[in-house]
Amino acid sequence: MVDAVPPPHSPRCLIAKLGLDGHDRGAHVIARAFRDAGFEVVYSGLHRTPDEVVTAAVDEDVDVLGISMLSGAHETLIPPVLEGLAAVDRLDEMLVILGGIIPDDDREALLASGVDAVFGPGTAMEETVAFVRDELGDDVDA
Amino acid sequence: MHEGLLRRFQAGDRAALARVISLLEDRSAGHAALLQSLYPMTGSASVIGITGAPGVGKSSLVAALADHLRDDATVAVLAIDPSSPMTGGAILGDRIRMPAANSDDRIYVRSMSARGQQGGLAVATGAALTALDAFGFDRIIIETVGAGQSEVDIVSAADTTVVVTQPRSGDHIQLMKAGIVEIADIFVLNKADQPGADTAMLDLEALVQQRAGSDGWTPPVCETVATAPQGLKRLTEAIAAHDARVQTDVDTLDGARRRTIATVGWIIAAELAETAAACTKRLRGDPALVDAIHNGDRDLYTTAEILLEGQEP
Repeated sequence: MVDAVPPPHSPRCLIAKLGLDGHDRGAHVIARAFRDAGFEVVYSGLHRTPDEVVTAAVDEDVDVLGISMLSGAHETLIPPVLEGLAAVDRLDEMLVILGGIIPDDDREALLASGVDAVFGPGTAMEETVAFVRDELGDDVDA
Repeated sequence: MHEGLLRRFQAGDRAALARVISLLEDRSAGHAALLQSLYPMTGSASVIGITGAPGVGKSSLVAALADHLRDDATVAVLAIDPSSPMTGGAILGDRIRMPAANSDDRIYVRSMSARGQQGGLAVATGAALTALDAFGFDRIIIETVGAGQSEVDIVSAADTTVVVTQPRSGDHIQLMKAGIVEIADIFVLNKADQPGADTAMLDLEALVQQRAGSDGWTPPVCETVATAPQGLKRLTEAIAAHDARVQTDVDTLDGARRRTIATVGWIIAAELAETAAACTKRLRGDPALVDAIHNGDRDLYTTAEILLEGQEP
């Protein structure tokens, strides 16, 4: 029983799907992997707007926002999410990571605009989990 | 140490509310002082507890209920899901059923992991309720972990406890058992458009008739179809009637006082759990002492007492 006492701060994450993108297997897989890493994971469900994702991330006070994009609409849908978070002063401290199909040519612009990492197909779950742990560092104890 | 945050909280900044709940939940530095400064601002919210087995439609019902209440009140939802006993991780999936949570500024939804706590709530439930009440929400809805038969902590936190069932979830013998069916102020038969609803209604009606008169309150049985939504008007009337009774009945402790007692209990539980964890950590780091107990040179209780008092073993 005593060993079940949780660490002071498990990383809180929101896994989100934006727009007209119905492919959520990847989102489910990463949500499970984060859960198994000891993270607390809120899943947004499908077809959210950028505003809805910002509201959910702020209201749930997450440390990590993971967005899964397979629709090719990242250049349209990601900037308003980043702007929305910046508008309430939450972009700097929140880790924003992207997964799914993101062409190599688009990565630099996304990273420059506030995305912290892009994980393409074939990325090992351990790599993503390790990235989150490293980035959050001493803020979390999981 | 959180003055700036508190100012934003009092100015109605939802991001500040969200951060305050995290600080309380994580028992971060300054959390006790934070809770103390919030407590005097509480007392205006009424709390509805929604409990029931996994999959009966609690989240969908909470979404429909919040949507029904939001015209006359601001509504906060505290949705609790279980944590993994292996890793401490959790999937907090209730928000998916509550699309309005992301777009309605009169509804705030916060997901919370039970973090190993049994009983259907999280240790931080009391602190989170304090924050939501202090922020000024008129109504707070708590959705418990999917409850089996004995997760009954919700009664200590809610003014009115609603137990949600669905058709074909067992015969009337299940309803005779002790535990969760005893705590209902109101029963809801959700998915009332599904086969088996008539029989389930008869079983529930029979149950509440047997209970009638024991404490002057006969739990109403409400049929709902949360996804339609149907039956919400009758349910909210039943909740209002029970809330009013709790306020006026001198023999029943009102919800706010019950929450005060429960929150003190949760504070103590968290402190004790922390102490126990620190003691076992010390023991793990002292293999010679473990060997001594194992070999019978030391005994369990004396060692526990010594560790608890913080002495050198």
